[in-house]
Amino acid sequence: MLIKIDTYAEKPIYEQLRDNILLGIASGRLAENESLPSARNLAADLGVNFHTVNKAYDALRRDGYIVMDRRTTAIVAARKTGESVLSAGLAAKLSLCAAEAICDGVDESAFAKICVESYKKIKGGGIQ
Amino acid sequence: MSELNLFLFVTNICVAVLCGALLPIVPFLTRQSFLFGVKVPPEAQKTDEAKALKRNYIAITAVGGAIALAALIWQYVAAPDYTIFTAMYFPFAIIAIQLAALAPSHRRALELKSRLGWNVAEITFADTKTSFTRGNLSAMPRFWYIISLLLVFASFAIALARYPALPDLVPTHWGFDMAPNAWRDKSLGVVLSAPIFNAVMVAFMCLTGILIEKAKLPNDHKEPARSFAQHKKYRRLMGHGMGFLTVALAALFLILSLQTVYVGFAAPFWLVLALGVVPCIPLCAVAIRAGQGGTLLKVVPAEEPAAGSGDMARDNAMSDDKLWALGLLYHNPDDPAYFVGNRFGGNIGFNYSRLPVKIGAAIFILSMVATYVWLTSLFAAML
Repeated sequence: MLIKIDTYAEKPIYEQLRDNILLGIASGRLAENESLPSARNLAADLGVNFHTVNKAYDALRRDGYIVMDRRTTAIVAARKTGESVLSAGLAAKLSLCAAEAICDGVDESAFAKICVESYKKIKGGGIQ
Repeated sequence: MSELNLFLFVTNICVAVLCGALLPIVPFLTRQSFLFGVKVPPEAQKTDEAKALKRNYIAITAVGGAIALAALIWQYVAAPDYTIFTAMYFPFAIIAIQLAALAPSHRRALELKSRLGWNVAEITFADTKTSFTRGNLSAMPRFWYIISLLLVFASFAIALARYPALPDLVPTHWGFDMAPNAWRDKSLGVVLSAPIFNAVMVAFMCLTGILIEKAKLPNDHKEPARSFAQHKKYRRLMGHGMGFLTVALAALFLILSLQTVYVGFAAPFWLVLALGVVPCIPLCAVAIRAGQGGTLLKVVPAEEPAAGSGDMARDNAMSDDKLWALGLLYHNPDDPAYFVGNRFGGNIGFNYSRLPVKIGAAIFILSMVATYVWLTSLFAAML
């Protein structure tokens, strides 16, 4: 999977990297049990600091999206199934998203439709 | 001596003609994202300013090459005994010609980028699968190096097995007719010199193969998937080319070792020449045909856009050009990469901010200076 980082964006590089990998996992481009490159190799290819990649891997590991094998190799974790409740963090992010949609004048049905389309698009392998 | 001078003169002429043909085409082998080492949008290459810059570069290198060629001929005619010095120092003249053409072109490209707004989004890409396979070298064609190692072991084993039965004098040098023309007293050092040189050569070639695999190659930010597919093909072609050359050279040194330990045995000269020269031809052909990091190779990229939000790809004037001197010397303390593809030409360079690279460069420069001082004084004394 291709990872794209804007080195001059306001969003921190480790967050961009975390989001890239998360999108890759959700879309199936990074398969379950697939090994990710070592933090050093990925940092070298992206031309960013080694600790930046480590920080992104650590954030993904804490959230359960990847597992670290003997603290050296990052592996895509098995995808959870059958969950019907959002985690507290995710619910907060969605609330903020809904708040912005309300302020921008997006009505309830349109918002729900956009959410479902976005979900289906990513799950179907598409990435924005 | 005159035969050696003629041989060195012909070699110098071959180097001059080859470099004279290659130097002017370097801008056309470089990825479209770079203009004389400066990152630009690919469309910038089609502007009149960029074309004029390339014409200027071609003119400087062509005139420089012609002057160098004339100087070579003048030196051989006027003072043939000095041809050995020309052979030693001529590569520096080639480097000087290229720098004389590149430095003003690079400076002008930076000015044009600023004046004409050739801004490029500062986006960097990585391919997770490629990063992984390059990390553990799993895509490197190892079988060539295993065969080469077997040939090295064979040359050691045969030399050691034959050692007790060897005469007191063993041949150490052969003429063009492959008849021995120099002998030395039998000793382990003399008999094992070819196998030891063989082992060092195979180790060096193996490191070069690793460098090809490990080096981060530049990509086109507009078509990253195509760039990564080109990198993959380029590494495969160069990896096999380098591996084939390693096997051929290991076989060549095995033959030289056999000639030392089997008195009277002489391989035909054409075989020695073929093993030393022929494997270089496909390697050079690939390097020229593929261009910088495989930019001229035809590939079918995976139909995969890069991940991430689309609004990241905005252009801006901030640039990582400042991390590159002339597009050749890279210095980025944040980047853990040791090997990086140059932004001008197809060579692989180094990240000079890394301590091991600094130490390696210092050792290389000091050993080069020491070797040149020693050889210059040695040959000067022989005049």
